[in-house]
Amino acid sequence: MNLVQIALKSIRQRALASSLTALGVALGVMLMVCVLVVFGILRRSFTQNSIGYHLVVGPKGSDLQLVLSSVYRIGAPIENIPYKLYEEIQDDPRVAVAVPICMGDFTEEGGFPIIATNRKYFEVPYQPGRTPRDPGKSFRVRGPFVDGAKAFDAVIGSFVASKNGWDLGDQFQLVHGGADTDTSHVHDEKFTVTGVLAPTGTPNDKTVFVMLEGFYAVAGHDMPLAEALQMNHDYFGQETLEGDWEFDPEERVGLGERLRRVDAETARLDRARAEREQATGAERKAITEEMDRIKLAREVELERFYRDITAKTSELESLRSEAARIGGEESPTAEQKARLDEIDKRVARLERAVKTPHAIMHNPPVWMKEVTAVFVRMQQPEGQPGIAEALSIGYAAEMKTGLQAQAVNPVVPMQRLQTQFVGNVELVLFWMTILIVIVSGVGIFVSIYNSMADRRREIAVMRALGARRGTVFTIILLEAVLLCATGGVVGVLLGHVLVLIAAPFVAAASGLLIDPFAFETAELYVVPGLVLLASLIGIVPGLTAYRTDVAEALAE
Amino acid sequence: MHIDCNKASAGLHTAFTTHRHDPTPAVSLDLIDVRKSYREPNGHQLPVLRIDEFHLKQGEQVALVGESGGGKTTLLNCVAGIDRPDSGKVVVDGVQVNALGEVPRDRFRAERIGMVFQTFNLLPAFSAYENVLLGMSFSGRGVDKARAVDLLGLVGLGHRLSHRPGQLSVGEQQRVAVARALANQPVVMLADEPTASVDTANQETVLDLIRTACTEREITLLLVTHSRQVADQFPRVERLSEFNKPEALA
Ligand SMILES: Nc1ncnc2c1ncn2[C@@H]1O[C@H](COP(=O)(O)OP(=O)(O)OP(=O)(O)O)[C@@H](O)[C@H]1O
Ligand SMILES: [Mg+2]
Repeated sequence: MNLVQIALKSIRQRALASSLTALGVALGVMLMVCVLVVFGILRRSFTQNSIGYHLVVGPKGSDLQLVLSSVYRIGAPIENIPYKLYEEIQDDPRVAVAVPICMGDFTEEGGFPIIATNRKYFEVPYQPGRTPRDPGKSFRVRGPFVDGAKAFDAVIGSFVASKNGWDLGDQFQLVHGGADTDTSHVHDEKFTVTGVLAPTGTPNDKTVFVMLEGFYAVAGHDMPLAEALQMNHDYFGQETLEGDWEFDPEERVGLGERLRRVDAETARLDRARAEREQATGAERKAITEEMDRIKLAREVELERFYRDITAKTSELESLRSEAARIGGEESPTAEQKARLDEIDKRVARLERAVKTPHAIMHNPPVWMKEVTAVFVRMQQPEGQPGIAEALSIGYAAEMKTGLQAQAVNPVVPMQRLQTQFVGNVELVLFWMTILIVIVSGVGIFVSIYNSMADRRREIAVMRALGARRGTVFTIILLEAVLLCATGGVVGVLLGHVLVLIAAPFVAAASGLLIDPFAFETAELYVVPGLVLLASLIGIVPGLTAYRTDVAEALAE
Repeated sequence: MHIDCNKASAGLHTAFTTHRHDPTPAVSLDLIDVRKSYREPNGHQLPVLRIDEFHLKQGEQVALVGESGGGKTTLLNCVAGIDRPDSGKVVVDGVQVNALGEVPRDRFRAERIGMVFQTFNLLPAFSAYENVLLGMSFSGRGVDKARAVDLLGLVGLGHRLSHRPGQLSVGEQQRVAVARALANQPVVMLADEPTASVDTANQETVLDLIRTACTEREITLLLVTHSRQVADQFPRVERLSEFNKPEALA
């Protein structure tokens, strides 16, 4: 019989007390494991390796809000940026992939966020490789979406599919602004599920994706003309055109004609862009330069349109107020009546002119569209690691000085959140669980220490049988170690069982997706740590055993 | 199956054995000038042992009688190395026990002394069989499971191996204790009133067991008893007060 067997016997002798104290340790360890696993998942989702893009471009504002809303789908997005800015990004030679997304709508059932994007979204790995050779993890889509998408097609995340019970062929409508806001309303257009994503363990599982074409075609998703023009002017008109041209209000070109010119330039631009896809080297460069010229030309037309329509609109307003003033007179003079007639004619003409663009804009033109954010992967020449990162830093800096947008490395705000907030919460929780484990360790101490009085005689008998002081000390120490270690192992198992059971509930409640089989390396230290704790706990009762006066204890 | 003093304890064996294989009837236990007093709680010295000379030959069986508080248990403890006399020599099997350091003394006790107590002192968490194994596990010789089974068979408990002490009768418990005392092939058996807690019918059985086992194995037996009946069965009966004069110490 070895000492471990002897210690185990004594533990079994006091089975109830022993199992209760071990259970205390197990529960403490269970909590600790949960904290470790959950925060491990959080921490990992904040690293570069969990986001397949170098930059997220969105309107200026909080970088954290931009990343949380676009990548993690938590909270509302800041605002929108013009679609043309997405085109700028896409056309930049440093950019490898640019994926536009539009947000703001939700599903009626389950309130899942809806992201409008294009097929490229699913071609970029949602988790990039850790090494140049590692291809990372790519989306797997089931359904006809794989072969092509129509405007009103949709792809749903795995969690959406299981939660809403949706599958291929099911139809749904978008709810603007979420179900519970007072401005919310259900859009009439129906989208059809043509793809279901395999689980990814990312917020994508809880997202519904629709095609941008369909999204823009939904009534109410196009901007009011004035707003679109204003945004276009703010982003592009002022800066790109400064000094290069003059607006001549006398030019006899109608608003409709201007718009047709803009559309023509857009068409040219699209053709050039398609051409550029095929071109390489010098030809590609030439096309890029040509594209810049076209953009400038289009910008000039747009800006002229903007100024013209702004002038007309404000004239319209002042005429109307003048008419109202005259109309309010008790007895208008003949002069005033003549003026009223004049105003009426002018107003009628202006109204016709201003209406023209509305009439010809059923399908919103590029400059009237917006996106919420653009995900960007930079070019990464083979064999030159770090280039993409360097490019992304330069690109972000450029964007900071210009325009009204920002380009954010999604890791940066998330890591800030991690170190400033989440990390501290983890630390506090972690130390709390350590404290719980120590307290349950004290329980083991009390249990063993209390048993020592009853066991004086047993110890004396062992000594009489020839056991050394050191041997009885070791037996008591082993009891503490065995109890703690058993509690620890059971606790680790319980912790994972709890994570396994809780994962779907946590996912449903918090949007945090938890891999139920996630394992933290820190857990490897739990059992050795407990053995250390147990050794400390066992010392005092062990010493009591060590010091037992055999003759005296035998005489009792 | 019997285990001799094997390699594990060979060093110790030679260290302990000096007289053992002498041709002349070997002396198994020698007490010379042994003095022992206890410090009482009030600080006074309480003299308990003052023995000038006391000898047992190898294989001898002696009943030790004397009044309560006379120091019999103290004497056995000094022989077993559980207690140490203040002065004098306690020599067991050629080894001066009271001169050994604590660790060799524990080892010596495990390998040379068998002890049986009035209250048996079996460990309640262990089965009969495991109690015997426990007796073996503290010696350097390791456990011999077959021998443990044999010993329990010898004391008539071959059918009670897995019973725990609480599940055994009082007489059976004391028989387990005897088997445990024999576990390490001791040269000296110390029994402190082994029959006092056992009913009269079982007294005989227990006593016979102890004596037969000691006779067969040439184990020196020193048995404390208050019972005339028990003492009368021994070839040699010693009254402690006749060779122990503690008053002279005071
Ligand atoms: N640890 C101790 N401290 C102080 N006095 C002690 C101690 N152990 C024993 N004594 C005293 O020493 C004396 C001898 O005790 P011992 O146990 O040897 O007697 P005994 O002969 O075995 O008696 P009994 O027949 O009743 O068992 C007693 O008077 C006892 O009170
Ligand atoms: Mg006594």
